[in-house]
Amino acid sequence: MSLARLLINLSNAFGPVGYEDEVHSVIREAIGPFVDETYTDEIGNLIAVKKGSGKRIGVFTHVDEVSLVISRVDERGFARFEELGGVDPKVLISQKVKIRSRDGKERSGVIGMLAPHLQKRETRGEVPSFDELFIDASINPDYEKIGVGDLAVVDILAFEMNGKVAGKALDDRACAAISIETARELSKYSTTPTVYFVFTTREEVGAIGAKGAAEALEIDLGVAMDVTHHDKENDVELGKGPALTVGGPNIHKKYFELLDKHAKDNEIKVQYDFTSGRTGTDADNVQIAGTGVPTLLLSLPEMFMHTPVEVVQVSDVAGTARLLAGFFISLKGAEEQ
Amino acid sequence: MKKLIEKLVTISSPSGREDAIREAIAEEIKPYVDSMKIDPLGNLVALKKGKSGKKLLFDGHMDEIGVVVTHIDSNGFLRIDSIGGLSPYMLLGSRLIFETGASGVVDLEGETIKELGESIKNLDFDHIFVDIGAIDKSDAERKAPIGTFGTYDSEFIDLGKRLISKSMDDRIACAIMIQVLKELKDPKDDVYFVFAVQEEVGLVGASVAAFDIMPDMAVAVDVTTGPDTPKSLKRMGFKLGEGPTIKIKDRGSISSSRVVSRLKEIAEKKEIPTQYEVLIFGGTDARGYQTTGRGIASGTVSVPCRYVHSPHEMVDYDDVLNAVRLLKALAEEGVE
Amino acid sequence: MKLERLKDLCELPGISGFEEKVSSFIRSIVEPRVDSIWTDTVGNLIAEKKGTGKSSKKLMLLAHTDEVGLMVKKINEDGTLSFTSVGGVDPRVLMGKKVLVGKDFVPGVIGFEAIHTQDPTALLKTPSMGKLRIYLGYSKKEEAQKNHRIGDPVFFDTQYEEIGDYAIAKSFDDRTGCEVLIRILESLEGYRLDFDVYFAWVVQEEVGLRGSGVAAKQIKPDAALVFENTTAGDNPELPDYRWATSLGRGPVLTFAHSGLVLDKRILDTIVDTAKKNSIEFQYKSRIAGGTDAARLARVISGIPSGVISTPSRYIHSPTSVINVNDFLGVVKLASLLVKEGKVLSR
Repeated sequence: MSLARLLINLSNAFGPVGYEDEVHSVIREAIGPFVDETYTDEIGNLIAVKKGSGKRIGVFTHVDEVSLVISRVDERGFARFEELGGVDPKVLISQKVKIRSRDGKERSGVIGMLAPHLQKRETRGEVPSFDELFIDASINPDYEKIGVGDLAVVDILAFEMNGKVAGKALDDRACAAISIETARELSKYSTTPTVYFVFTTREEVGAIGAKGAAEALEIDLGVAMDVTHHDKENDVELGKGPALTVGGPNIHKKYFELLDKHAKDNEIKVQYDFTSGRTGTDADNVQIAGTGVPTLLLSLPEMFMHTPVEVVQVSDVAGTARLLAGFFISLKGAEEQ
Repeated sequence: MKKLIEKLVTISSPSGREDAIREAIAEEIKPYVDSMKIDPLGNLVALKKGKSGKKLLFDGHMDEIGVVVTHIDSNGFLRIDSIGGLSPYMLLGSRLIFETGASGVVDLEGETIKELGESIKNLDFDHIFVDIGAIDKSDAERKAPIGTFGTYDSEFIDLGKRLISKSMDDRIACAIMIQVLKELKDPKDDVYFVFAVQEEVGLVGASVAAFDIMPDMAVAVDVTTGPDTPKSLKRMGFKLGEGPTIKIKDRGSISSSRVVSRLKEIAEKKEIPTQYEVLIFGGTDARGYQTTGRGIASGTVSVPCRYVHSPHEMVDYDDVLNAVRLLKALAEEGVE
Repeated sequence: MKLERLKDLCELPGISGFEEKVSSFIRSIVEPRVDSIWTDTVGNLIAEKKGTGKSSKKLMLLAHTDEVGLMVKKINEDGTLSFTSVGGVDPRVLMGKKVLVGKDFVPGVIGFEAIHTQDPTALLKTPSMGKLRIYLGYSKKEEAQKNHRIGDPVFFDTQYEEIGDYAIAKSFDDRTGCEVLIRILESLEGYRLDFDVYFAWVVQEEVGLRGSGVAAKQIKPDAALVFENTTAGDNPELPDYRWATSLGRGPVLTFAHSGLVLDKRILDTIVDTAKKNSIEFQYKSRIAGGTDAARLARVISGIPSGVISTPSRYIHSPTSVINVNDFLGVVKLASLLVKEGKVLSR
């Protein structure tokens, strides 16, 4: 399967925060051949273990996507909703959504907006908030089966676009793809460190999954990977490789130097990012888990984060996997198979 | 069960000052538990043993919102600050009771009519004061010195189907848990009943209560605000009287899907009416359990309640009884 | 799928000024059934079905082939495209969407800045269209210029979908009207009316009712029926007296809209026919909005007309919704009106 195809499949999978089973299936199938075991833990993380020797490394990427949950349905089948993770109401207007109900069935809905000429002039300058938006689910003949607690995602299929992939859940499944590719790269070596690929839940609501996973695993190094904003002003762009977070308090200085040196020695294109406190990713909770874990954060440049048309560059995904796999091997001093 | 509820809600025990309520609960549950302990933070943890080897945990918080005396002026008027999310607006026209026994009434500052208007629009604790009827500063210092905690002072009213009192949040859960303990003969798993402290100031007790237990499932029992009063929040859809809720999400946590489906399964099997709940604000102790150690599958069962965090919270007695049935059934059927 | 051909019509790209694909699709279907057919200088498709000659009157049936969309106005240094609207498009319906650009329908996205970096006080402010961009994956202007130029049309990309009695698509306005005309033509198969009927699939309605007058001046009809698609505001955010129309209550009859009060006699004929045939209908209860009827009233000596519409939620967006039964009600009513010819009598 091509990397672009993997990104598309991962993005299309249905995985609202707390309900990532379908994504787990896609990941299990993709990473299965390259790891020794996979299991899910109490809080809902998927963990794939590649047994090795020497250092024990945890790689954290989250697979929950920002999405919606229905909070009320009226007698005509119009539903009110709440966000799961941070969603900008602007990008929900005029979207088709897929609703998965507690009866297991999938139904459609439209988040509609009134045509301009029926609106009052004063409202045109404002975007409806969550309190004014609604999902028109009345179009379903059995709309009374839709209820509070049903989950909804924007119904948009990912697609390729000039070496990039656009989709609804590349944050952070594009990085999950990096983990999968890293596992594939490592499988070419006869000895590697032990690597726990943790596909976390609930990152979007406070890195809850990563907290539990990091407390449970005994690791010498934690590497979190998340997407970061493509931002020319701040020298982070699509197509120029992963952004390594230089510092500050959340990042382990010595491991960062090793990673940076490895990139330079192997002429791998990287960019740099910085954070003055918490990073706002799984790295936050990994570093302070247990008695403390040296932590690194690698970021994949992405455009339009938290919209249904997030964009990443495929070569960045591939490049990051190569970097990571090579870096892990360098920690071990292993031999290629 | 109404007598039990009345006993619990009328006790004045704000966050951090839970001795009185803990004693009352301990006394109630003693004959029914296999063991009981108080942990370093003050959580009361009781155990009823089962056979399966698995562990289930129920959590209800003992503390209620309140106030603390921060200053006494030369005339014996008190200044206070909030303990937990107590809104100053709720104090205007209602009474406070302090742990020393003093009673207080609250009013606001305003040296001009205009200022009074401003104070009302943007009411905060800096612009209100408490009058405990002291004649001077030293009198006040005797009656309610700085650092004295207090709560709403209101009575329990039984309207038949509906019950009104302060601190239904979360004494109703404590009552439910006690009732479950009394009725539970044959639990499948080991069932831990955690009466937690300091939920209202940041889920403190629940963050650690399960550290040594690490149950297979944790269910927080709390109240949720019922959006079924005139022109109430239009985005939410659950009602008083239609059963205890199975929470899907609030701002504190997204309930573990396993807990949600297990509760629904049991509710359907036992024909207990329940509703799903999506709350667009707020949080419960469930978050504390999700973030304990390597993580615990957790969720919340809520009792719909109107006027939460006011001196007169209202619950539906049938919802309460159904919550007891639901939790008891879960304890009997097990987490599996 | 009940309405296969409506699906095809809705999925065709045809924004104002670029209606060819829609017109040629319609032409291929109707040509065998009419006596003459031509495309005029602005792109209107006009077909004639001659009558027996007993009446010298002419009836014009009209729908517009164009839909609203966007147009590239600038290729930016960073390879993105700036755009403007073609017809009335509210910028609020554009964010987070996939679009197709140019005659080759190259896919791109109209993204938006992540919520994390926006100023929280500006979060709920409508961005101006000038601030939005189409991103197709180019990193600089030269790359984009290889495939695109200013003036390129930009189309919404929505797959038509039917669910129960409802359908979702991008351009019910006015492909429902186009399909109504085709179905009327089909219902006249083997029929000889006393008068001549002209079917006009006109262009550029969305940018100022521009095609209809040109078509009418070639036909010189005595009366016209305009088949449109009109807005239904029947959602929980509006009180019912502000809904204008609602789905599931049948074809919409307009007594007045922006720029015109519709001919009373024709309106009465339509209402009468509907009642006699037990066709449930509704009135459009708001004056806002306009149709080609306003243009027809202002050409030659003034052409009186009636307007019959299919109600649709969320029009002028990539995701409009209709109730299929309302559409079929329009078809039934329209076919009866044409066959009976009463709208022509004075």
